[in-house]
Amino acid sequence: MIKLYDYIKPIYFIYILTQLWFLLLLFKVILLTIICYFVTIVIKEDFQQSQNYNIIYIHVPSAWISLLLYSSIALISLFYLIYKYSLISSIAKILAIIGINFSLITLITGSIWGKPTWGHFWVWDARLTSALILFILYLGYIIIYDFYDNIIKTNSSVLAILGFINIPIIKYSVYWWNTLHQSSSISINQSTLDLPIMYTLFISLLFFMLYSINIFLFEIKKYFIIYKIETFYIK
Amino acid sequence: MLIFFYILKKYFFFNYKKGHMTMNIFLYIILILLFGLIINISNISLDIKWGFLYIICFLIFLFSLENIYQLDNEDGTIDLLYITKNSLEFFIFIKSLIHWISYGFPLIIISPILMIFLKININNLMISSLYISTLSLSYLGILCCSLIIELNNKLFFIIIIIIPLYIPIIIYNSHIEYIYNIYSIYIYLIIIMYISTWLTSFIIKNNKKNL
Repeated sequence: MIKLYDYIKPIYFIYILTQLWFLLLLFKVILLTIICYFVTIVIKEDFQQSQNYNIIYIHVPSAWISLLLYSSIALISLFYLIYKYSLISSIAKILAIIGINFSLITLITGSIWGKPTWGHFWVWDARLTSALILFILYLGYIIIYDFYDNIIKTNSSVLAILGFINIPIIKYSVYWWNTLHQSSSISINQSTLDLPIMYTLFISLLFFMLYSINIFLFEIKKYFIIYKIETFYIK
Repeated sequence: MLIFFYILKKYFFFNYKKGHMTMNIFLYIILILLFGLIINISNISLDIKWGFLYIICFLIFLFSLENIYQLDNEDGTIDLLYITKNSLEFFIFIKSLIHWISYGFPLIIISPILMIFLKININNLMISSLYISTLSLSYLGILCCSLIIELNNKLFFIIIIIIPLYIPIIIYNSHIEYIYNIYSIYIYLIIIMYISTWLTSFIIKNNKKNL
């Protein structure tokens, strides 16, 4: 009987990845079409910010994904410290590479949006500063992971867990301090956003998540192929 | 108590003989004096003067963290402590304290004199904030340096790792209006002292076990 952990074995995993690849591509194309339709035709221009407002469909999902990925990395690092299974640390590293890109996209799109809205590309706001700290934490994690040649990746895992304190700070910074960045428009019970905008936002979030999953699966497949080659040569 | 004095003698005199201590103090004095010389102090607000003094003190202490494990790597103290049943946590705690005594305490001693050159009215809260900043940086630094103990050119990595964890202290201690909330930073310092001691020994033991 095939157990759940059998699917982590390279042979099963690579087979499943190949099947998923085209499916994910199809979904992404569909979602992108829907987003473009909503943005260009359905949703009207913002009365204050005009077309600048459309950055929300890149900025907000990127921010959410960078936070989600860092939280996942912290959790995975905790599991790594307990179980010391090298695949776990490799997964965390791949997530870190995806996360740092989204974190950078968040900062850049935020700056581009901030210039016409606030008049500055950057302000030392609580939300912006903590987002920058998140980027630096990602960078520190990847650097420590890569510069240690041995298999054991304890040090980077400890850093990831230590840096997790930044996640609630980013989330609640707009409530704890007087910030220029606006507070949350979406919560569990209610939303101040118009319905088409909210739906488009969630569809773009789904698109970016599928994109991240695509990259993640590609990198994992690469990891297994390299692992198989190394094992072959050692034998 | 004897262990404390033994470790103090070993590391303090090593740092002194290396010349880093005197160089740091000298650099601190020169930078503050140059700032006072080049810029018209009377026209600058207290915020900027205090911020400049704080940042220079922070940077100079940060640069001293590069050599925190230098003697231990040379003579194998940590390997010895890992093998024996002596407490590595106690050693780390004392070592951080002594690092602060060697590098941070002299900077704080001369800060009131340098504040006179910058025309800053000496305030107990300012001196307290310098104490807390340097002490917490010492404990955070030993934790961050244990993560990169085997790497060369540590300074770049130290900056990348320490800055995210040190930001709350920078924010609350470098702005004049926030210094009055200093009591909350005391709690942060106590938490850092406890966590960094335990975490550093965990990291070192893990690194040694897997070598």
